[in-house]
Order: sequence, then structure tokens, then C-alpha cells
Amino acid sequence: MTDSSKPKSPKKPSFKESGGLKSMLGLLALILVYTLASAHLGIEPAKFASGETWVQMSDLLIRMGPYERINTCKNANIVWGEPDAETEAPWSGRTDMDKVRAVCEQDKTFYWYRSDYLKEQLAYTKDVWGPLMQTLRMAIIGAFFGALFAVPFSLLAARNLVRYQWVYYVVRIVLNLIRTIPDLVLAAVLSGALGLGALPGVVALAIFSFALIAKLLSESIESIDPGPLEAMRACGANWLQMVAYGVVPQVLPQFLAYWIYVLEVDVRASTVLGFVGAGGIGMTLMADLNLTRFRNVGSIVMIILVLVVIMEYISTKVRERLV
Amino acid sequence: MLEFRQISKTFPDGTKALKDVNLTINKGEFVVIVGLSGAGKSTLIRCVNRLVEPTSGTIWANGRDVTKMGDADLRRWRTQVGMIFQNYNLVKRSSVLRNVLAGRLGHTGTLRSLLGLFSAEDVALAKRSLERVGISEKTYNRADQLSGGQQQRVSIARALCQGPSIMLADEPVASLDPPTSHAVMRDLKRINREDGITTLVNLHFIDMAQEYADRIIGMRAGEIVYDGPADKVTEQTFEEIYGRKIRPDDLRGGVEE
Repeated sequence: MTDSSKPKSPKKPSFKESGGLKSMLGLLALILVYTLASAHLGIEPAKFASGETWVQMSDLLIRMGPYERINTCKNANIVWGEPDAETEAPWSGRTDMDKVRAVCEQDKTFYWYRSDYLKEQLAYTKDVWGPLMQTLRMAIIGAFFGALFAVPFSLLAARNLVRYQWVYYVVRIVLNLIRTIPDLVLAAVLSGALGLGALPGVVALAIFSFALIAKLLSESIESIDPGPLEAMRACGANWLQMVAYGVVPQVLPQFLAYWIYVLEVDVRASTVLGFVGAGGIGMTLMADLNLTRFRNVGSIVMIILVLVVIMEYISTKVRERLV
Repeated sequence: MLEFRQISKTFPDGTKALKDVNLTINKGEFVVIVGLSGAGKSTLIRCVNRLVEPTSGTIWANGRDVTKMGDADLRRWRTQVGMIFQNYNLVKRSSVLRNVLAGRLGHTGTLRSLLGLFSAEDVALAKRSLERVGISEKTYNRADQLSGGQQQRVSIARALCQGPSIMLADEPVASLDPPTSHAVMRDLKRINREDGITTLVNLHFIDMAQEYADRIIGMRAGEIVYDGPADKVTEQTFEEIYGRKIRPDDLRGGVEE
């Protein structure tokens, strides 16, 4: 815009008028909050600057790919032998593995490219296909039952539908309580109670999905257009009829979208749930991690990634159709 | 006959929306309530079906006190009172037919309505109602595909579908353009004449009030300041009701034909 279009150009606003002061204060407040929040967390920037961290991280990443780590030893011939008398003292009470590692004074590390990587990992994919499908089935069943139970509770957790305020508060508190329990803890407790396998995983996912959908859906319900509800009340409709004719059509697309979203989250969550014995591919992943079979870990991560990408694609397509 | 006796309404924030309103509406009358926004028009007509609970006073209809009705009785009473709104209040994602059938909810059992099992007579009545307001060709369209005037007609059809004895209309034309406004008012008037449905309409357009009303009630600050037949009303009367000079935006204008 040129000056000529504004015949009476007002004088340049002062620093205070232009909001500059406010922005400066906002920036200062941000720095203050950041400083206070990071205190006593033991965050040491130096740790990231040191080469050690990066070496360890890249080591892990490389070993998740088609490489195997080889450590050469200066004194390889005594690796499996008895330790020297002079070095024995510090190892007392430790396992043989510790001895071996300590004896093997590391000379050089290099990574060996496994030319049979693809063949080996394709064979492995066949092995994990079963647990993977179990994970998917667990997620589907968990999300289904979660969504089923979430519907009535989300109605009771929506302020605009609940006649008595205390009902709303009680349901909200219960939902918050359930959401506060970490899914991992839930699965650990359930696998203790129900035994190892898919069942505790499914139940944990159902509870987790229930709390998530109930929360999201109740908030959608609270933001619906109140007009149709008023019109139905004026027609003499009862509460259930109002829900069926005024609420359901308005929130159905969101509900289905949340359902699909939760299904996606459940696939991700169920991989972790396997860690505590709740079935699925997580149990396989845990075993591979414990046995430091990092190539297998890498393959499982890739497989889960592919699965999640496919599900995200489907969920985006379905949501586009619905809204 | 509908009789308001000393109806008062004080909202929780202390606003006195209605102050001791006494009013008798005769059967089959077409009454237009005029007044500035905030005068208590909406509150007054919402007291009839108790979408707003009056703080004190009684409303008598067919020898019964509406304000003392319990839940079930109130729902039964509401089925006799059709209502149309400024924003149509249709479920936009539902079909026109389903919106109109919602008017039958009060007459339909809960289980049947949840399953969508309306009787054949109800469906026929819904379709007939749509015909009467002239949009039967839109029966299966989604409500949000319709223009504002068409949506308001769907909401009239929904109210008609209830088989009401009283029709309430809260600013039914405020969101419409002048020609559509007149079409909607003519529909209301026609239904009032043909079915003998007592009609209460809130308006703030004085020319429309004069054109369609049998009787005009003027409200200001929660009180009835004028009550008389429409043909006796002059611009002077409106200036008294509004407490100021008449302005161009108090007129809808644009009578077609």
C-alpha cells in the first residue's frame, strides 16, 4: 500500500503502542519459564556436545541395519582364559561375562556388512507375521470395545446433555482417573491378573481406548449446535430421542474419526504393551532387545512403521469421506 | 385459549425478562409480538412450552396449568405446541424427511424412534407437511443443501408434523431476505387459517407485523405496553412501543407480487 492511498498518514506508532513492549515482556516471561522448568532436571548440554553420546546412538542405529559390530581385541588369546592375578581384585563377585569384557581390551570397532541381510530379515518377517497380526487383532478388538463403552459415558460427560451437574462431575473424575493410569502399568497389572498373552493386552487397550474416546467424544458433543436439541425438546422428545436425533447425526463423523485414530494409537501402544507380557509383536521385540539382536529390532521397527503408515493412509481416506 | 397470569421471569444473572405479564390469547388468533431485542419477546413465547421456566405466575391452557406439569405431562403438552426458530434449528447432516419426522418424536415410543421405525401414517404426514410448505421435491436431500428459506419451511413442516394446536415462531424471518420472509410469513398465515392453529410470532419488523397479524402485542422491558388489533396500529403506536423514532431497519419492505 502506498502512502497516497492514506491521505492523512498517522504518525509512526511508538514502541509501546505498536505492541513492542508486550512482545518483549512475553519473550522475557518465556525465557524465565524455560529457565525455571529446566532447573534440577539434570539436563547437561555438555552431554550432547560430547562425542560419546553420538557414537553410542549411531552404533545402535547402524546395528539395527544390515551391519554387525566386530570388536577386535589386542589380547584376544586370553579372552576366555582366567584373569591375571593383578587385575582380579576388581572383578570379584561379578559374572564371567564381565570378566570377558574387561579382559578383552578393546582395540578397534568396525562394522561388518551382512550380505545375507535381506534374505535373513525376510525370513524373520515371516517369523514375526503371527505376532504382528496378533497385535493388529488386539488393537481392533481393544478399540472396538473401548468405543462401545465410551459412547454412553461420553454422553454423561457432556455438560450440555447432563441434567444434574454432579453426574457430569463424577463421570469426568472417573474418566480422568482411568486416563491417569499409564497403559503400561495397566497392562502389567492385567497380565499379572489374567496371565501372559493377548487377553491382558486387549483389556488394557480397551480401557485405554475407552478413556481416550470418551474424552474426545464428550468434548465434541459439548461443541455441537444446541439449536436442534432445543427444537427437539420443543417437539416433546425425551432425552434418548434427543440424543438419537439431535446429537448422534452431529457427532457421528467425529466419532468414527476418533475410532480410527484410536485404532492407530492402539497399534502403536500394543507394541509397547508386549514388553510387560501382554502379547503381540511387543513380546518378540522385547526378546530381540534383550538378546541384543539389533538387526531384528530394526526389522520389527520397520514393519510397525509400514503398518502404521498404511493405517494412517486408510484413516485419512475414511475421514475425508465422512466429514 | 391460552392465558398468562402474572408471569415473571428473572434470569440467574438478575435480568428481569418478564414482569407480571397478563395476557389472554384466543383460539385461532394470529398474534404478532413486537418489541426491540431484549424486550422479553423470546422469553414470553418460550414460557408457553417451558423452554424457559417462568419464575412465578401461571399459564393456563385447556383448563390446565402448564407451569405445574410434571415431565411426562410437559412432553405431552409440548407435542401440541409447534415451534420454529430464527436459525431453523435443523440437524444439518440429516435428511429433510428425518428432520420433519423428528416432529413426531413426542408421539412415538422411545424404542421405535431409536430404531427409526416411524409408522407409515407418520411418514405420510411428514411428506404431506412438506407438500404444504411447497418443498416436497427436497424430501430426501440433506438439510444443509437447502437455502435459508427452504430450511425455514422444513422447520415449519416439522412443527406441522406434530399436529399442534399452538404454533410459536421466534423471529422466524430475521435471517431471511425480504421476499423469502414474506413467503414464510404467508405459509404461517395460511396454516393458521386452514388448520385454525393459534399462532404467536415474534417480529421486530413493523410493516410485517401490520401486514400479517390479527392482533399486535407490543413489549418493552419485560412488560406489555400495547395490545390491540393490527388494523388500529399506526406508526405512532410503534414509536411508543419502541420508545424511539421508527428507523428504516425496522421495516422489512420488499413485498413481492
